[in-house]
Amino acid sequence: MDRADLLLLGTTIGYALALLHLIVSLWLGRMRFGRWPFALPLIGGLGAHTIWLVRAAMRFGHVPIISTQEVFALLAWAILVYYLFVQRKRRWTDVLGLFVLPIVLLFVLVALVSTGFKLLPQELEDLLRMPALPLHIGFMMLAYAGFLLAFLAALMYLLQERELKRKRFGFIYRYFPSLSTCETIGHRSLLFGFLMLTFGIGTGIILLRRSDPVFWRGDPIIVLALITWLFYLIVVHYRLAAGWRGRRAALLLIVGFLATAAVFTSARLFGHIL
Amino acid sequence: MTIVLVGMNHRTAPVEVRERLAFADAELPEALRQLVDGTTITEGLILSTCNRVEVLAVTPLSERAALERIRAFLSQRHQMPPGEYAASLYHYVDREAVRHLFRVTAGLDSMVLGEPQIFGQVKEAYAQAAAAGTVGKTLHLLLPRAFSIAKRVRTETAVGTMAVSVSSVAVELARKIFEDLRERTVLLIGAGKMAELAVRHLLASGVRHLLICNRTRERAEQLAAHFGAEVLSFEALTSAIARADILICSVGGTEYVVRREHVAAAMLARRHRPLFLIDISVPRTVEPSVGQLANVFLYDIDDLEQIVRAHLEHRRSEAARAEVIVDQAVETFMKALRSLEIGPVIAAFRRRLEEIAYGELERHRRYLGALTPEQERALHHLLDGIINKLAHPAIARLHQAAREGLRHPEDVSFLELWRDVLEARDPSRPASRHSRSSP
Repeated sequence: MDRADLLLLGTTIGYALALLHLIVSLWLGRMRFGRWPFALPLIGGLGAHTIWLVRAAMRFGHVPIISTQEVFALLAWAILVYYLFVQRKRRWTDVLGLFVLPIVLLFVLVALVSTGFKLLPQELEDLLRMPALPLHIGFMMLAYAGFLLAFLAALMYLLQERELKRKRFGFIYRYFPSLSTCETIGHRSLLFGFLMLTFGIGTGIILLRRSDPVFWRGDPIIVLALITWLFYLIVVHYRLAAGWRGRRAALLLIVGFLATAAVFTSARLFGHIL
Repeated sequence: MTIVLVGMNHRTAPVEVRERLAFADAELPEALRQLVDGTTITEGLILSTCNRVEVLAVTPLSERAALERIRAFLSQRHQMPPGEYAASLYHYVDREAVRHLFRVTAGLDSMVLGEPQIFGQVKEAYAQAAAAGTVGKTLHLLLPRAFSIAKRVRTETAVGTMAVSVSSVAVELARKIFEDLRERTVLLIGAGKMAELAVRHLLASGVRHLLICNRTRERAEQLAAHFGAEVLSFEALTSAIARADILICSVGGTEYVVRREHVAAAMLARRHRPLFLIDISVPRTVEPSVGQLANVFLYDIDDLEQIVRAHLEHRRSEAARAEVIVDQAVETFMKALRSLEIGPVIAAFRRRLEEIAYGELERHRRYLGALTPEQERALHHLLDGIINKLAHPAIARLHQAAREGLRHPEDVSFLELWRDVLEARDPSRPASRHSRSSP
């Protein structure tokens, strides 16, 4: 096993330990062991994760975004960083992590078991040397992280709303943050994701104009990106202008996220880079 | 040393008896000094709250003497013949007294299971007794232990979590919906007692804006003046609902006061921000189908009471876990207490044996002549070996006795017996009362 794999393995173990600690704490009902058994493996894992990404970037001299391994590793990294940003003023070990960390862990696991490219496809060489590309990739990844968090917050909102309506209380009632908190996290994440998506598409257009125009014209991924942007524009508009709230807004976020995630995943499966 | 606890609580004594036996804060120092006479009672602490009166004491004599002394103290202090309250008293000795104290401190013996106030009250009682100088080695070991056990119960079980009254459940639900209640507006429809209680709870949780709607404006203005609220007319109900986040309805009568069309219109006006309706009137005065509207959460009195029952049930199941923690802690404490008692006895025993052995050596040294250092060392090894071999079974027996409990109820005192054994063999001290040489 070479050193890069060890780093990724360390990342996986760190995240798994943090998740395990979170589950056990919630299971026992209280934080019995303090927050360090949670924060330490998480931060350690994030450190190893970051080093791995930097190494991958330095090896080929470009953003680590080409192989499946790199895409998943970068995506997991963006999600975790954004999650920690959201949690910065909240309790570290709360139930939101129970939704986010499994996804992060899953992505890192996918990265761990898939193999990286040994050789770079010739036609991508030029594109990857463009200075705007890291920006574009960074914005897109953060947009994805924002929309994912918005989606998870909306999911938590709906689950909790259902319990409050049914008046049968269990785990959710005891541990979920309030409806208002779920709504706030969802709202801010939506705005953040939309902003990042706008920047991402902007930088993407710059990239398009500079790279071979023929190669990119009519690419379905660009059409999809614009549709996504329009969809979220409408959601943002209704929230800000018409004050859509609660259940309906949450449902919209969930359906929207699932649809775009499905579309982009299938687009990638058919051989396009993100 | 025996620990005894005599007391009464909300289950064993009616309030008329409890209030007559209660101690005012100001009289505690004097009462404590009166209780601790230095012969029958060497250490004492009095816990007096509205739900319980407990006297915790340490005695070097028998438990019966201590119990009689405490009862006499209570009667004398409160000018009450024992017959009037004796039936309400319970008493615990040693292990059971320790367990009782641990349970009380952790809130497991409280009327509202797991409530936290009692912790502070015990702490205060401890501070009072310490200030009055009636706390000694035993209570200084016992009370801090009780506090740490109570904290452990609090962090490791959920016995103190979850609201267990209708009003506090309403507040908890409001927090589940709105998180921070400070910027929220409460609308009170009707002005009944229950509604007032719920409003008090909400105001205590930080709510600042209160609107009141009542059929008779006079009563509404009274309440409004009391709480600093705004009075609205009954006709403006829809616009009032549009302004409020939490609505408490407590009106008499048999017809629905808050109807579906009111709330539906208000929800449009408030742009579907969540609305929490609490209907505490019986019969209900909020149309039940209001609860089906999106972003509206309607709870009636039955719903709230059901939640209270579920939470109490949850607390009870957590209390079972807490009892396990207490049981373990009692065992650990009793061991610590016994080794505190037995340690000096064993040390004295060993010291006595060494005095005898080395004393004999010195007495016979002149017959030994000059000794080389090796011979000297060998002699010491010899004596130490004999001491150890002779003492070992006795010390093991003492340790075993300490583990299993020092005495049976009918024994005078196992420890005292050992002290006598040691003293009786000591020629330098006056003969003890068991010695044959005494007159």
